[in-house]
Amino acid sequence: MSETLFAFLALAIASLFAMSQMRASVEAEREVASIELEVLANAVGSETMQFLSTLSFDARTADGTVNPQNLDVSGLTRSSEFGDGLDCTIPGTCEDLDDFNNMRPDTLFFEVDIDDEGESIGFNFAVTALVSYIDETTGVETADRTWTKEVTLFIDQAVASSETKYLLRPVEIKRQFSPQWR
Amino acid sequence: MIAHFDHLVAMLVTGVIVLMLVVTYQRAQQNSVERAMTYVAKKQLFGLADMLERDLGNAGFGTAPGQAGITAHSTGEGGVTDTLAFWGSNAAGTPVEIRYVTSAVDSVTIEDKTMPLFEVRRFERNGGAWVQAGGSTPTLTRFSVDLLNASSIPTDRAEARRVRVRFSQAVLPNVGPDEYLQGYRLLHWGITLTPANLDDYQGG
Repeated sequence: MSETLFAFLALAIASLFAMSQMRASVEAEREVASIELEVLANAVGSETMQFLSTLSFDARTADGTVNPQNLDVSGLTRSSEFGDGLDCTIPGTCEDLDDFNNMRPDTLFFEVDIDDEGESIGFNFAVTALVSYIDETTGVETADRTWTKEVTLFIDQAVASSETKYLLRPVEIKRQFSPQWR
Repeated sequence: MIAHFDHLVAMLVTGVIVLMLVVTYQRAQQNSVERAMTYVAKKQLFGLADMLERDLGNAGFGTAPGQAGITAHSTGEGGVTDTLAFWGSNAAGTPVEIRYVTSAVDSVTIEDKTMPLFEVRRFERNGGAWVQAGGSTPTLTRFSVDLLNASSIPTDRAEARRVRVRFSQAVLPNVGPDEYLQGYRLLHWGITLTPANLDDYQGG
């Protein structure tokens, strides 16, 4: 009789092991699906950075009151005066880089295919940004005005509450801009 | 009688456990392969994406106003860009002509849908013969480069101010010599570039 008990115990342990492996397998599937979305989010981020690279470095360089080749930074926008909560869209009406700081999330669609009815199949991504000045000597963020601004984009999958979110973590992309590099 | 029953149960349980362990092991192996191949495909895709972004971001490099920055662009079956040639720069920053050529290398049938697999090869020419310098894996299912005007409307080479790239790469786990396909995934990439050197009339 004891053999039967041991056999059932072994069965129970094996079942627990199999369940734990099944859970790991589901996690692995989610991870792989997330990689697909990560690639798309990176594409959205790169395209957004391309758009930002076409904008003016600063409102004062755009209107010509500050010469980008001049070392004097005192005319540039103070970091405390960067845009905050603006409705910047990509593309849109915000004119220079720092307008995008703390922007309200903009939703961008990435088409991956077209179905038989001619409808686009794709994913929506919510894009937000932080902008800061970078100390050109140390390469770290500074509150002082400099000729280098760093834009950090946060790209997350935008889903309705009833939809499944496949992207496990938002993608973060940084790029630095300076009118003196052009 | 009880001893016989015990033996029977023990054999049954052993059989069930062995079966469970084999299935679990196979599943774990399959997941591991799929995850590894997806990571590799992601790395390969980013390699091609970086190369295209760098090359096309420099399209028209070293050309004078009126000189064609994009020298060839043709689209084949299914909207696949089969040839794209333009002036760009090599690793040393010297103006060179760059050409991307797409060729169908294989096809896969997945869920009754046959998909062609393409390979993109990159060539450079610095006055002499074309020399291959880079390319993609032979697992692309889509590769399109569209030339757009400043308003993002498709146009010809002379009016091109922007370049839109779209490509998809298949992840094919467990494709063995017998082409046995247990699963597939597609990774997609796209970007629209506004090359600074395409801001003038490009000629014809």
